[in-house]
Amino acid sequence: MPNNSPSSSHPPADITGLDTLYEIETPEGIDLTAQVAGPVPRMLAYSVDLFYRTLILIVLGIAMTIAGDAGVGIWLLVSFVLEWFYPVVFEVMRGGQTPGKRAFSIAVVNDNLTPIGWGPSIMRNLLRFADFLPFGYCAGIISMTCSRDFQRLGDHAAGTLVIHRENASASAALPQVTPLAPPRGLQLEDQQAIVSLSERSQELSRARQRELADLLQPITGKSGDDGLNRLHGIGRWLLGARSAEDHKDSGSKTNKRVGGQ
Amino acid sequence: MKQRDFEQRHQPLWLQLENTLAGYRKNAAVESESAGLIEDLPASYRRLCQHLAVAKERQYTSNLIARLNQLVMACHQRLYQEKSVSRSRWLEYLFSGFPRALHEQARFVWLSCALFLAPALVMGLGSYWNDSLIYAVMSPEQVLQIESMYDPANRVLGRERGSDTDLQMFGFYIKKNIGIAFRTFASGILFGIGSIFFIVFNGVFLGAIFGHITRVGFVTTFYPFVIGHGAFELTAIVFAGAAGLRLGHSLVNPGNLSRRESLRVAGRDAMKIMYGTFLMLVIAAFLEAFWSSSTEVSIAVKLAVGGFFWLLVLGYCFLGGRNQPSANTHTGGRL
Amino acid sequence: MNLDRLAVRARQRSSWESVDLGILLARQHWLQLSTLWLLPAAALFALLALIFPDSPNWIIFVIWWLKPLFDRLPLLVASRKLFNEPMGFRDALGQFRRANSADWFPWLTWRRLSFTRAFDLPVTVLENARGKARAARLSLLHRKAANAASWLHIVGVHVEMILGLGLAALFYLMLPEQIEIDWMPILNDSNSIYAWIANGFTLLIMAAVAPFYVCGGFMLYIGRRVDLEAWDIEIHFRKLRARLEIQQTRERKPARTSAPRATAVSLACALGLTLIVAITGPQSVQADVATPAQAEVLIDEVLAEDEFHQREKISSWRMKDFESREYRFPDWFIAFIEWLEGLGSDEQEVSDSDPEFGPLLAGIIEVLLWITAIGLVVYLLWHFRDHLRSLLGYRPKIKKAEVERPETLFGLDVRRESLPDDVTAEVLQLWNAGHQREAMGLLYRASLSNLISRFDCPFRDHHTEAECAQLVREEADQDPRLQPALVQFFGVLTKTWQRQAYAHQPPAGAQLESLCIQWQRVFQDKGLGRDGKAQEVQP
Repeated sequence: MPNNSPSSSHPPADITGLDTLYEIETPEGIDLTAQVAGPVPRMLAYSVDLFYRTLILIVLGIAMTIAGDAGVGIWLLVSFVLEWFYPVVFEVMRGGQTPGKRAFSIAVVNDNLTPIGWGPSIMRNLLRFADFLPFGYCAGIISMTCSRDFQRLGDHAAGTLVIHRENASASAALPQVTPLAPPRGLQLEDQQAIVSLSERSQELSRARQRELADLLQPITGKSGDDGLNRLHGIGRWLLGARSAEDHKDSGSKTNKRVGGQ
Repeated sequence: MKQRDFEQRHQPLWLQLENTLAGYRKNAAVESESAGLIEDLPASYRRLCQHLAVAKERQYTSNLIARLNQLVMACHQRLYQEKSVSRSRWLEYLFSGFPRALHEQARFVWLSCALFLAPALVMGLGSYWNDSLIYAVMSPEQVLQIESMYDPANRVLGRERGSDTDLQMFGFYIKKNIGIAFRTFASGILFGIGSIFFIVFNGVFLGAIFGHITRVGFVTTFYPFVIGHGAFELTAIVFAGAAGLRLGHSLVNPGNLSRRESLRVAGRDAMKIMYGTFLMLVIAAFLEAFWSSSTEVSIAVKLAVGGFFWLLVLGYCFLGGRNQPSANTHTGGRL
Repeated sequence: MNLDRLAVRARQRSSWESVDLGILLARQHWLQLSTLWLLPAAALFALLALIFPDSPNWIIFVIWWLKPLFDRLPLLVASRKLFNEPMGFRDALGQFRRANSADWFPWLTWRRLSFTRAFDLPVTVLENARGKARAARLSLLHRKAANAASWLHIVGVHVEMILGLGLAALFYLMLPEQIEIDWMPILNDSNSIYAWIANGFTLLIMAAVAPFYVCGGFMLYIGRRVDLEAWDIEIHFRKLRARLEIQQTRERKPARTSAPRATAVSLACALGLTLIVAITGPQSVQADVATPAQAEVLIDEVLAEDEFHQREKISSWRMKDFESREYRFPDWFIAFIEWLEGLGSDEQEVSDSDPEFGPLLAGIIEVLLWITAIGLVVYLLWHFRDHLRSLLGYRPKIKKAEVERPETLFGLDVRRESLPDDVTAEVLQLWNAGHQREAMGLLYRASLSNLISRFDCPFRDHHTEAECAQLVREEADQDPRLQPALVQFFGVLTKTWQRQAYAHQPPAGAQLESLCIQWQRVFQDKGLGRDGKAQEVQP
């Protein structure tokens, strides 16, 4: 049960805090991160798939009544294929996403974050039966909840993960201020925080933004709205704008093209 | 170097990479068109990784780093994508890979075989000598149904069935038998207990039927019927059990590896067996539906062909894959 | 609320990621949270059992209905854990009444069946919002998260059910099959001991699932607040500010250790301003240089030019008016279909004259399956004909014959034409004339040439002498023509030659003569004439 979950082997709840991130380093020394998907969205995605499969079988069942015994045979064949290979085909051919997983924008990948191939996919889906035991995916639910990266038994054996696929976020409308070059010495995280403030200027209340901007008075040198505008300016600069006319951002356009897989 | 210069200098490469990847995702045709742009993806990828590292080191703006990061991710996915199964690899697997996988896991195959045969023999002989033993494992209705299926007087089997019935039975056998084999395998992950249960259960059940039918004397209908597809089906069940036992063993006795690692290695080994098992079961279902049931063929022919199938399967399993140098390094567990 | 002590990483998350994080949080503190849920519930369960011993099902229903009360304690503890504040069992239990003082009545009546309970509870318990304030707050919070919250609720309900049924299934599987149990009275009788056991397990399952449900909703709520109030930004800004201050005090230290803070801040402002001015200075110059956006436009233009657009004209034959042909089946096709129908079932025609669709379809499929099966077998047999032949004991010869034979090996000419008619005589003659190296070379060359042409040894240009010897040894395992004597002779010869060629140590005269005799024996008793090319040996 969950109390003896491998929380001890979990990387210690360090400065960065608890998170669902999964990090690996590629042979080229590049860190890749992904957000593993937990039991709730996965169960829902499974329900969607189950719904589709049942729908197909019902429709086929009605259509095949005209074919008599042969229809029964075909129906049985199709139901066999749907039971065991429906997820496999979608996972391998559609970038790790069955229709249900697509609806919740999650996807199956190998645990080195490469796209899943036939072998692991067949493995994890054959082992569905073990996860199903004793009833209604009990074993799978418990295994998912207890394991570090939310893996069910089939995932453990096949070495796969289910991760959240980030949707390319629609580029937010940036505040119309003159871009300002940032001061030296800002670390990547600081830059990201400032950019994030600019991008979320529509969602956050003005008062809250001022409050946040006041925190950085040592950098902006102004308080209140002036300070906030400074920060917005720096944010726009960091997003690639160099003059007031530069239209929004060239970056987010290309990002979308790359990230939209 | 200023970020602007850096961007300007490397922008062409990044854009090319982006175009290549976008093209790859759309379809292969575009890829071949854009293949000229990026001749050597691995080399470009290495350069890109270096760019990302430099950009991080020099603390360029987050926007640039995010873009490079995403590009690296996309390239990584593309480069490390598992190659699709090529035709020759499949044929190689069929001819030698599958028997070799069996040889490698010979321990488990023999164990599974014993777990299947021992109860089958006991139950078979038992229900041959003792009329009532079969009722310990089956209800009277089931026994009656099976008897009527193979009763030579009741010419259900003896009458030529229509194609539609054949097809129906094909679907039925595929769903039922392959489902059983898959379950036998999958439940092996429960420390092997599930697989053992399923193999023994099948052994008991089939043994009882064999013994009982022989006792009742429906030999002329029963054996010609089962011998053909039995060659594939019974062995496949044993193999599926062996694959399941391999999984279970990896958890019970992980050796030097962690249980997780051990399970993954076992999973890879077991899958090599399962592909072949699946094929054998499809063949079995095909034969059972379209060959075994046909009565236009005389009993002698059926027995001969069935015997041939047995020889074929056993010969394949024992002799296949021996001549080829093993692709794997470990060849210890050969038969 | 001290954001610096937040136990989870603050970042913007999608609703589902927030729920997942909640699962993680619940897992970390599962034992404490579920015990805290269970203790009051179990106490009430026991109490009710004493008072109403006859109605176990009603009691479990009451417990279920009171869930919002029991959920509050785990929520309170989870909120403390989120900010790394310790909270022991006793503290927590002491809070039970206080946690439940707010708004308990609506939660037990018209809000009991709310689908967003886990998400809304924090507003009641942690923010103490009621009435209109609560409604306003919820309408803001719900805007993005209500969907996920409802689904979380639905999943929670189902997981409880599934675990209950799973447990029952497990028990059922454990029972030996021989025991015939009449289930109906047990299921119907609401007062049997089984009902109490079942309800006890239901209680345990509720307690086990509750932390995940509560924490899932709670983290969804926190995620929404991170989103709305930009906690992540605040945390980063605070860190940045702290870093700057440390930096500046360190810089100031040598001058004045206890500089008033105002000075530091104003200095920092000045620094910041100068930096801004300094960097914005050259900005006007940069403006006309290509930015990524401009570069992209440029590249798009380049890509649009003709070099990137090859047009090809392809002319070929293709089917015209495909649709109109579809209805004109050739006669043989109709005949085939009719035959298929007959194949489908002969009884059918007797019993009812209507040709049915089913048997026809089945017939087609069956024929297709047979064709596929036979095709596959034939294809496999053909593809692996060499393997099969080798399995049956034949040695595949075709490939060997096609292999091109090298003309020179390590600088030695190994063509047959280059050899003298009587090799050994020539060798001995050279030897006696004092050309020891040439003599050995000729002998070795002749051996190689014979091995290539008569025994099909697959030597290649890149092989070394030692590799050739090794190759001969390996080939001998498969090729009966290569007799052990020959293999051994070639090994000795190779060593002698290597010594001669690389170490300049010629063999003794007697040794050479013995080699010549052996050469004659192994290569010439194959029925080869003195001219060295008369009869080919056929196995």
